[in-house]
Amino acid sequence: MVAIRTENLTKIYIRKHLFSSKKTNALENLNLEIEDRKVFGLLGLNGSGKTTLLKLLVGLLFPTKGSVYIFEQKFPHLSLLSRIGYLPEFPCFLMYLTASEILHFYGKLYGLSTKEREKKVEETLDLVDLKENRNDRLADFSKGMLERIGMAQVLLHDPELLLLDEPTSGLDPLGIKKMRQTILRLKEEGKTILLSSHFVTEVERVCDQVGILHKGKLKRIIKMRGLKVSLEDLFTETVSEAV
Amino acid sequence: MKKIFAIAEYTVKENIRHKVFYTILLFALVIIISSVLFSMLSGEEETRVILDIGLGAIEIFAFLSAIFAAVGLVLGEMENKSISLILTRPVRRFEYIWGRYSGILSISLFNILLMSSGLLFLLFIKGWSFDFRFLLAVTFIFLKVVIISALAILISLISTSPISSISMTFFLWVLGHVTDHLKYLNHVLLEEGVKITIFLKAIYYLLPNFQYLNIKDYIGYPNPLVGTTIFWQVAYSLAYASVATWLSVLVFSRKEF
Ligand SMILES: Nc1ncnc2c1ncn2[C@@H]1O[C@H](COP(=O)(O)OP(=O)(O)OP(=O)(O)O)[C@@H](O)[C@H]1O
Ligand SMILES: [Mg+2]
Repeated sequence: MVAIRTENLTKIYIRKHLFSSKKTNALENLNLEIEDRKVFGLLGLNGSGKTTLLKLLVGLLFPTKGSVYIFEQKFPHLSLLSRIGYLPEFPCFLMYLTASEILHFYGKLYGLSTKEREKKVEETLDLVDLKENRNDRLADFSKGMLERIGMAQVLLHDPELLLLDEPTSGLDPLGIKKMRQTILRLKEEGKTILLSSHFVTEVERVCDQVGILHKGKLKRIIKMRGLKVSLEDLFTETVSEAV
Repeated sequence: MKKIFAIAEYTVKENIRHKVFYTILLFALVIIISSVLFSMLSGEEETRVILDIGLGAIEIFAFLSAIFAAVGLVLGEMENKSISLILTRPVRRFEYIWGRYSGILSISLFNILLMSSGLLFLLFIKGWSFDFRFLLAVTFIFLKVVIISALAILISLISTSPISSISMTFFLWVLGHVTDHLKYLNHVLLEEGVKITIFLKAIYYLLPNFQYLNIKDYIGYPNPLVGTTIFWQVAYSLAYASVATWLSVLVFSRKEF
């Protein structure tokens, strides 16, 4: 099955100033197909449109043109959102809540019953090693702990599709390793994962397929299995020839 | 409905964990209590003065706490982007707005009830005999808050900074209390030969008419209120607030984060 399909997906940001407006073509005619049960890496320089694409896929942005299909259903569609877990680039929470309160709150938004929620919240807190901190306020959390709460809210409702925007940024080496293991384990469980990064080595280690995004255009799709040349070379070649 | 309730619930939680919430309540109680002092100084009937100052304080502080909640929480959440973790879940945009709005109203209701009980207590100590219009006055303060909170949310969605939202809301609050002067203004302008009646009329009907809801002016005076007026006043407030809130939904539905 195709997990994500985009058709001519285009996003133009328009910044209105007093007398003029500035247009940024963040994404241009993107046609992408991502198989389910695969890990797909979006590789691109800063400002290449990775975050824009992920936000379009969760409905935080509306496409200027084109369309998105998720699990072969036209997006946006409310029920699809229950099947997606989204990790923003800079996860930001309601800081006055405790770890367990925020997860309960999110759980309620999926319509989970109290019993289900209690089970799920405990499970996910355990998964991200925050069981001891469950009653601490997020305001007192370190950056790394917040990242882990970020991952907890992704996993809370057991989504089939995970959209992770730079999941390893802000993590220490141990955290990065753990994230890699988590991603691989989720893939084993049959999840589809789309992650963005500008670290070639990270992407190389977990992805089945890599898409190179440059200045809003999908330049190349690379299958990692049986790749003879180094991904780094391919990447630098792609983004420099495109300049 | 469940989701609206969940969002309302966490709005309340968020509010009661803020220091501002207690500061506002504390200030209100201090002023209400100090009204006793003023009542002793003035020559007028003691309970009358306590009543005037007390109801005035309740109104102002209910207004302040509603503004704080509407602008601080709604705009704050959009600015710090924590909203993106709510909207990427199966929550409709209208559920978010109505949830936030009902949360803010619950807090306001709680505030008003608390402050009024304080005031009632004081009045009883001073030997006041209960007048049911006190309840009406308090209800109408709440109705004003119902309207201004809806407007504050709408303004927060349109404007870009907390300062401009707060000043805009303040401005509307004040204007809403002097709408009748527009009629006078029209009269004066007509005499000068300026005809902008339609324009002024439009403003008159667009602005929230708080004067219409100023019941507290009537307590202690001969009662000009009858059931049907009260019915229309309530209907007016609810209609105004829901139109404003649906407008907020409309604006919010087009917003990107
Ligand atoms: N809200 C916005 N308004 C206007 N322009 C924007 C907005 N968000 C992003 N852009 C522009 O769109 C382009 C793509 O940005 P995007 O955030 O998608 O890049 P990215 O690949 O995620 O970059 P990074 O690796 O730095 O996170 C950039 O040129 C950026 O300046
Ligand atoms: Mg980005």
